[in-house]
Amino acid sequence: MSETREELTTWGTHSLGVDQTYKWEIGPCSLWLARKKGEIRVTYKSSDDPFALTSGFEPDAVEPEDGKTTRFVDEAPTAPLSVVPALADRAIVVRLADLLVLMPGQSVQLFVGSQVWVQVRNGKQLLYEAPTFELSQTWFGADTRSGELCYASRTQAYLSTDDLLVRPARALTALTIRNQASSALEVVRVKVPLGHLDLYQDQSGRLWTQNIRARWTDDNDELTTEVGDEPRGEGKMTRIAEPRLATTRLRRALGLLAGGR
Amino acid sequence: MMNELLEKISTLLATWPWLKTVVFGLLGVVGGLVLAKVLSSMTQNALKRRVSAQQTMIATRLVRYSLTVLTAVMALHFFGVDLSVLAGAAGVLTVAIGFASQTSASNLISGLFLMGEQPFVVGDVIQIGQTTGEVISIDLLSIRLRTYDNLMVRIPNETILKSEITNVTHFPIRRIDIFLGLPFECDLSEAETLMEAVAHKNPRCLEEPAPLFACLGYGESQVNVRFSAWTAKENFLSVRNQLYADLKAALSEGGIEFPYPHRVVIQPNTTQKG
Repeated sequence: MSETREELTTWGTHSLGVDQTYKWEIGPCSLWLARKKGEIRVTYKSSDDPFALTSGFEPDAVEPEDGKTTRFVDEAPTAPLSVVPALADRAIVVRLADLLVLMPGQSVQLFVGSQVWVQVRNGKQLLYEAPTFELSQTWFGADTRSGELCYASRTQAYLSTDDLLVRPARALTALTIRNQASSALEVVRVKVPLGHLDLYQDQSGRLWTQNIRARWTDDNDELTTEVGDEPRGEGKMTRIAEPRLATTRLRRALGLLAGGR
Repeated sequence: MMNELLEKISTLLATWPWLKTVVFGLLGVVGGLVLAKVLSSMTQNALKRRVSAQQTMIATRLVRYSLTVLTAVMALHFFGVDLSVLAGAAGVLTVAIGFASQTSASNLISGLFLMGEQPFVVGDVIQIGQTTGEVISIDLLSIRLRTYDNLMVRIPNETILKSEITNVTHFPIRRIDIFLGLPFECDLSEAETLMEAVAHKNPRCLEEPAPLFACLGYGESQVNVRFSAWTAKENFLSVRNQLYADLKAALSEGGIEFPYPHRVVIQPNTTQKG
């Protein structure tokens, strides 16, 4: 039972027979999925370019010798396997290339990209996951004693998606910041709490997360943020992954770092 | 059959009245010890999810020892022992024990203070004096460390309280400091750029706090610099080793070699004829 090339290039569930090897190219990452007698082999390689646009599929591929291989016991050789994207397992921090200043009463919508993870699932069971590109770690906190270990984004925040290419290994987050204080707000860097967000895909294939809304008021030292609505992309949005962290449906307070002038 | 047994026991107790005292006394002791065990287990189960492991242990032992002493006192009273005699002897004994156990008492009290202050917990890596190791247990009188070469070191609590302790793993991130010397003729800004590129290339070196390049002064044959990069505490050793190797390679590739100590020797001209 083989699938067509078009079906196999998309995220989703695939039938993989014994002694078959499929290969996916997802941006900077290459993934081989092989089913042998009694085992499933997942081989992973990543390139140096996190913004790679490569997206492809190759049936009857050959596993490379220089990849990182993980083997799993396979007790159900006919069970289909899913190759799906997921958001990063930590928050991501975007340091804006240029300082962004919001005067009192102003608001801005920024688009922030983040590298996705690729997961291999056997039904609901997660077999394997890896980042499509290994991100640099960074610290987000007021000082080195308390804070959170995050990933550093290698992109700046954009004000529009017009010039943004659809990258198979990246998800976009629309972040709306509103300055309701009486002083100007300097946005230095932004933390996007990916663990609390759903992942969507629009009809062009672009990956999106839920929107985030943030407010700065005179009463708070930091921005008050909450998870917003479904993103608006091209055509219909399909939710393809739930948040990694269990959160309530009520307002979820998260954190951004910014300074008032 | 049961009735016959009970009749035989009654006859026995009537014949030897002291046997009744002994039997009931022993039953009381056994009952008291069992109660002490049960209550200490209940205390342990109730506390283990609420407080730390060492606090649970202290509370459990307190309950158990208190009930055991109470059982012993009640048993002695039941057997007719005059406790007022013991009270007098206890006073003398207390003074003697006090002198003999002042170190233990100090360790015990130091342990209580340490538990309250919590400068470290089980699992932390601490440095005290010349000893560095992972804390494997915090007991009433001492703590135990496992050194990196797998030795067990026991340190009395009193020593801990009086000493300077460095908790290596208290905070989630640590800074790696690499001290090196660069030749005088080296372009320092170029060296700085090369080193920062090495740190940025390593995903486990944190982007923020940003790596730091600092000149420390001029040595005899070199410029002394310090290059610092931050990493998560669990990656400290591996990232430090990797940085040493990568920095050396990057500097060599950039044409910057580590200087050797050198001397300029000036010889007087001895060929001049008079």
